[in-house]
Amino acid sequence: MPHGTPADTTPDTTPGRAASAAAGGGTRLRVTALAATLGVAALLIHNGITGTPGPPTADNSGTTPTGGSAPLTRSTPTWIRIPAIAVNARLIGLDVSPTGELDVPPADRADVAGWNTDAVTPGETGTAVIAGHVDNKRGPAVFYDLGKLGTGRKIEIHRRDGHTAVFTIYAVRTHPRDNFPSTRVYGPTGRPELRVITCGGTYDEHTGYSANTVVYAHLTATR
Amino acid sequence: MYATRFAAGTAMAAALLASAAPAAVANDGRTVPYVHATPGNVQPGQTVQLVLTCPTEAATADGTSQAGTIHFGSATKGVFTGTLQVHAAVPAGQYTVTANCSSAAPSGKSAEKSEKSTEKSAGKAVTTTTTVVVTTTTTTTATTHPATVTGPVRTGFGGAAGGPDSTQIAIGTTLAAAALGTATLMLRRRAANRA
Repeated sequence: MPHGTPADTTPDTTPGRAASAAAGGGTRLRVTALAATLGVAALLIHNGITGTPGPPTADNSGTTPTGGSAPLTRSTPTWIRIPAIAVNARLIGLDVSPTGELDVPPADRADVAGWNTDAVTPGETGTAVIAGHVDNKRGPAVFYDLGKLGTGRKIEIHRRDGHTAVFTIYAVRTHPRDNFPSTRVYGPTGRPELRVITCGGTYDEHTGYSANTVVYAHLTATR
Repeated sequence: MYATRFAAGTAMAAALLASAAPAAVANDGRTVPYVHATPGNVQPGQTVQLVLTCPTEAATADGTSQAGTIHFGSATKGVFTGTLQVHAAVPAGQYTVTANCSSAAPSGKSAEKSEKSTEKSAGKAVTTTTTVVVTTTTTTTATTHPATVTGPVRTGFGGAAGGPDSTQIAIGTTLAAAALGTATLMLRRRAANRA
């Protein structure tokens, strides 16, 4: 059969060429699969290196607190509400260790916060302290979004006497653990103030979080 | 020898002085003057009550101390009551309280009458001392006040911490190694088939 005839355009059905074509198709499929696998691998490595953002960081904003409400008498706080970050948590009492460290709620109680029973109660004149976890081993906890808060936001503390003490945030700060301003955070004040504290900064599996996120608020209303 | 003579002389001199000017004795039998401070241990800013027992002829009393300011009132039969107001910023330590009893200044007939009796105390001030201990506020606070928080809290366990995800990195690396290994094998087989 001479070359250049219309018969040249018919499909080649010889066994050797068909096998070769099948082999070429399999190779293309394998190459495609390998390329896809490499793409997925690259994506995983990229995401792993980039990592997750972690708890929000405080913007360290602050204003001078103005106004205020008359102090309340001592009464055990029972609940804390922070509408801006959807916190609505029960409060438990926390002691202070002999070394001066505030106890924290149990690690498996990610949904509760605690108040320092050795300090004033929220609404009394002085500095009341509430602490809660930012996360536990399983994921985010009650104060994970504390760093998102800004000045002017409200914190409501429900008390056993039926009153609700409403605090207004005037500063949100991240204080490094190794240079923690204890007097500023816990020190006495001449009016009812509140500190809400959780961990912040960067996390190291050996040393934990590098800082504390501290919300400073003062009593502005009671009901 | 010299030491023995010196000691004997000193003892004789002391005995003569004692017999020449016998000390006054208060109703409770104690030698006057003497001062008593209550409480003996105080904190800065607190007040100490003082009772100063003087010879009955004493008319005024005063005192000094580096711990604070002393004030005595009027006397009843030679006994003055007063206060030591401890300074708020006084450092901790033991402080001497020095109290003085002074006789009344002679004036008119009554003064002439009492002149002889006041001669016994020579019209001079007599002095006595006691001590008070000022303790720091910190010491007291640790035992009587609620505990104070002095540091940051530990409220995180890293379950939602940011940063690199080693699990994703490990899986990605394994997949990449497997894919590259397979590709290498494929290229080698292809080269072998051509040969």
